[in-house]
Amino acid sequence: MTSLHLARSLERSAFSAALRDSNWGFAILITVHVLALGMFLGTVMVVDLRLIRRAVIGTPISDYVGRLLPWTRGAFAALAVSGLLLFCTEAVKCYESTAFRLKIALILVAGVNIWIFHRKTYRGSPGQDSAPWDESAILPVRARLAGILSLLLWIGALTAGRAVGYNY
Amino acid sequence: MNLQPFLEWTRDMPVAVTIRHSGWMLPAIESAHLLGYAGIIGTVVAIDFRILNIGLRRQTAEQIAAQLAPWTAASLGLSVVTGALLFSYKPFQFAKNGAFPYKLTLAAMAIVFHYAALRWAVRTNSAPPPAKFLAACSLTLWLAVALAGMAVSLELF
Repeated sequence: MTSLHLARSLERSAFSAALRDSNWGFAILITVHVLALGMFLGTVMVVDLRLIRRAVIGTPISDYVGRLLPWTRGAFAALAVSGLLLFCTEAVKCYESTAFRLKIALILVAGVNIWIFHRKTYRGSPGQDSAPWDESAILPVRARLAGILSLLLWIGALTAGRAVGYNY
Repeated sequence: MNLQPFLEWTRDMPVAVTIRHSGWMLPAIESAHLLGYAGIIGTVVAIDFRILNIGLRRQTAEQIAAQLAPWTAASLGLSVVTGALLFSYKPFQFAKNGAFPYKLTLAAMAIVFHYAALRWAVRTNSAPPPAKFLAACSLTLWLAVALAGMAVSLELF
């Protein structure tokens, strides 16, 4: 059974058909997806701008991690769930779309970037939650690089996502 | 008010014709519109959540707002310019779109609110209840703009 078969049977499932045929299903899902996108990408960009020293420099990274990241995570959950349901309704089209594959690849790389940042870059010395440069205005190159990469990858994922709708 | 000449003029603008004949410009402009929207939401959320005491707390709302101001302005600029380009792509359909006047009115209200009422709320660094109320209004207004935008793009009305 190939992935294409999998996509086809998913698309033909009663669940996907019900979503497709419901009057409001698509409108509600895409609206949730776009609202969550605003919250997710918006908060991510504010943090990225902090990392690359372009805004809210006086705010420590730990303030973001503790106070804004839960909202970013919640928005990502809504983004992922609505995205998965949207995928069900047109799995074959997505599977065959180069833009969709690129979007997923960009999201995965962005995820690795986040993982590296939290696991390696933003690691404190033993017994400390945050890195020693938590409150500095100018951050180490690795942290700045994480911010730049994050901006580029998420904006790329957004653009690739929009391109799926145009059959790229 | 007869909009016909304006709509025709918009439709025939060189940039509108270029977008209509290009396969990739429309999704690119839509992506930029969404990017501007995310920029607005992100900076507004950072400020409003600070006032409501559910977000960042190491800096005052005034400090956060001041440092984010260029990015809010850039995001607004990007949204307005790309919004105008999207309108020029198919002005007659937008003129018929029932949600479009609401979207425009709400966006104008949200922008005015941001630079008038919220500016005041940001300066009250102790964030008294009236400031919190204004921050909640700001979030609600931008949510309404986003919902109206979705209604426009889905041509619900």
